[in-house]
Amino acid sequence: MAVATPGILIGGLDPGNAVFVAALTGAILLVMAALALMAHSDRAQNHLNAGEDQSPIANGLAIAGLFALPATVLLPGLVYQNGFDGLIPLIGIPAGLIVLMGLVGPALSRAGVATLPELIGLRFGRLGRTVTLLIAVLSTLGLLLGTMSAGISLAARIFDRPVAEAALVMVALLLLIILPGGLRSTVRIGMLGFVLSAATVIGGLAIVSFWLLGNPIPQLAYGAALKEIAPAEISLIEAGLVDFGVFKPFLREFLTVDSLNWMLLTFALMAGIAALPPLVHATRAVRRPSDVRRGLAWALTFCVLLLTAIPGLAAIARLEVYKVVAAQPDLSDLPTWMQRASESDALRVHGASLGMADDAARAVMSGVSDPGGLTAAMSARGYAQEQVWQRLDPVVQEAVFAAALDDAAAPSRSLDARWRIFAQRVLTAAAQSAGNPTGKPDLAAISLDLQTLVVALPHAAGMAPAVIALTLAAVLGAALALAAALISSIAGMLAHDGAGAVGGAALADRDHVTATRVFSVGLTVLAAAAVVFVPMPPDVVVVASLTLAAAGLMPALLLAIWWPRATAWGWAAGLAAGLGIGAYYLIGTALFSVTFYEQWFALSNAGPEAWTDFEEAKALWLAAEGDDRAAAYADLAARTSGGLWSPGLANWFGVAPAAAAVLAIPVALFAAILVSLLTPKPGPVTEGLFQSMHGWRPADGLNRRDGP
Amino acid sequence: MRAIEIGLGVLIMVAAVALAAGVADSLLPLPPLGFGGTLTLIAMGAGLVSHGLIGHRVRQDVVNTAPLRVLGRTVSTLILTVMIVVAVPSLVAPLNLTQVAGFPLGFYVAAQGALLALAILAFRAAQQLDASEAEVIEHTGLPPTRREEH
Repeated sequence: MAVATPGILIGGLDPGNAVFVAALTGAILLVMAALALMAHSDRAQNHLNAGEDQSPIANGLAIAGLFALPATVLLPGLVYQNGFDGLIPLIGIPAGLIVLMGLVGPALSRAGVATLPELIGLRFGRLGRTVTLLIAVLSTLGLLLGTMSAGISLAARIFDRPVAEAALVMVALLLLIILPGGLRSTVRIGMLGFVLSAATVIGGLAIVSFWLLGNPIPQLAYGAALKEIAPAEISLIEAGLVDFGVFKPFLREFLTVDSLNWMLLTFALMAGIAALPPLVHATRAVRRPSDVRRGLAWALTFCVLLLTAIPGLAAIARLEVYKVVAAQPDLSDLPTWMQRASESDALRVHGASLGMADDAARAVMSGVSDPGGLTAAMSARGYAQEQVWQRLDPVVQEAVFAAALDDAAAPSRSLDARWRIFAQRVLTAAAQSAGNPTGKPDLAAISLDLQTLVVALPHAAGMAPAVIALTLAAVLGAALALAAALISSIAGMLAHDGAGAVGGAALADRDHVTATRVFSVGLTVLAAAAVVFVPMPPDVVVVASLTLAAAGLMPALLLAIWWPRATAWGWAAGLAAGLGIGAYYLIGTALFSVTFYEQWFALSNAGPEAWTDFEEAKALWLAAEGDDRAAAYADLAARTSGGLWSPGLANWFGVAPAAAAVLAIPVALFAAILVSLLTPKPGPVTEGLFQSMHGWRPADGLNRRDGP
Repeated sequence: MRAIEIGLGVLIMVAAVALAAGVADSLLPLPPLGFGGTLTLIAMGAGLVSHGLIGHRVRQDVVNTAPLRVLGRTVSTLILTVMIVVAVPSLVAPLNLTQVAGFPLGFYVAAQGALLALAILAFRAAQQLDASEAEVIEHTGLPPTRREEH
């Protein structure tokens, strides 16, 4: 079972093909780096806003490139796991771009400002600019950490290197992309990244769709798969092959989130996207306000082209898994596509995969001599891989180690032979450990790695090595493009608005570029170090970042652009109220749910019966002692806290914690309007700025309050 | 025409509230609309009423109400976007009773239909807003901003 060829996600290929795939992937990434070098510039405008000379279509492609990583890594798994409820981002992303187009983009262009904090500073003064800079940096930083985590983890798994090594390579590639031209270099990579991502996702899916459904247009073809899914699910349920604790029917709506939170989560995502600094700044790469709108319309169209393919991929994957389970083969006779997917660690049976076993074999050949050493080897693969290993029963871990010892002594190459040995030794132990004595899979036994559906598809489907290489390069390129855009945006804001807010005057061009480059290096290294050494749940980080952007920046933008009567005091009151409510709700429902529910049970959608049950459980907790008391409190906390996407008892009006922005924005606007009306009106300068932002007077008449 | 617009708008809003309150179940054989469906209908009715009330004045006084038209088109674009977001979860259950080419219609709307609608809306809105802002510049007689000059 030994695999001498490198790369978990390209393991199993013969050495020639594996080297070809690795080389082609590396070559494509170097082409991206070369494109970035060709965009070299020493103009601050290029580092900050990509230069103001893009056409609307090119700008649209660049903005769409920022969504390529979520579309290839995050969303397919989300839709696969949650079915209809996973479609929220597919509508939230385009809707957010329309909000950006209607409310923010053109006004920013007309005001002649380069960044979001600069616009707020024009309206509300230097304090406004400073605080907005802080919020913008923090919200973008959270997304950066999530992006780096995904990119480094993928790179480590694709090339079978420890996470720390993959992080170093990613840092080097990022600096190669960012330092020459800042955002100008980054948007070029984003454009290429999107084209590759769309081509590989839609192209790969078209091939699979043609093979399985007879139609090469996946967006049209997967209706045939959907037609078979519901009957297949019913058959599996009737055969007793379904674990209702984890099973979610694909077409059934409102199992993960209810209809109210489906809407609210979409609104929260829209607000977060419309206020996200890198997206807002990317719109400034075109010269005219009318081009801003068209650029965003093109970006939306390109995103829709990619997003509409995702449910097809998820549906086909689900149906194929159902078909295998319904056929009830022995674990040693699972179909070839599952064996290949397991070889790529993209599919696990009872928590174990052939890729994991191959990894163990390589560790043994490198000198590991006990199962504890395997644990250390898995830890080097990163937090996620370590968690997968730790979840295995010790008996299964022993079985993996024993199989690895056998393999080290007598390696064999064919997938079929390797799979049979893996099934006999490891899967048998895993199935027994999971309480499955039949040796045949039920639905809960087979789990797909949700992040690698797209990356693993070409290899699982037996496609040509060139297609595998293109897919790997597309996903890695998308990760690099998004990370680079986030880093460029933060560094640009720190140099531009940091100087403007703190020093009161803009830096000279050369100093600005130098400062941007220094900040870029620091951010890249720190972000990579944080990802390697600090385990963090990426979904929580992303949700917190988007909530911060929506609650902290969106109300400020609305006031600054659309209400001339808004005053600096009003902005400050709105910010405090909005951020306060958002943070209180997010933290209160997650970390202090028992206290939160006690205080706010009247606003909870749980009803009076739930309160009665809670009171009884609380009485038990108060009466308990020692370990029983801790267990009783854990029971209380389990009742009151829910998940990010669906609230527990502790909630206001049934709003999910991830939709906290929907509560924060109206509160912020109300507080801002109230305080603005109670404070002196802004002067004629503000009126002039307001009219300039809407094209009702020349920008030449602009008299700025703050900044250059 | 104005009277028809305003009357229809009021009728739709009243019907939505009546359905939500369960008063008109026997008169209007529709499935329960839920929060989102009710909100959608009320928004549609309010849109018709406001267009009937204000649209006439805007059409008569083209010069002074040009900025109002820009604002109106921006707001209507956003309302349409919100309506699409609200309509999808509200109507998925009744729409799923119908299948088209194997797609349950509700699932199709959420997975593709709404996205295509948003793409069309984006281009239409860009075109209309650009035209409206060009009218503002033309009718107010102001020179173009620095951005439009280049």
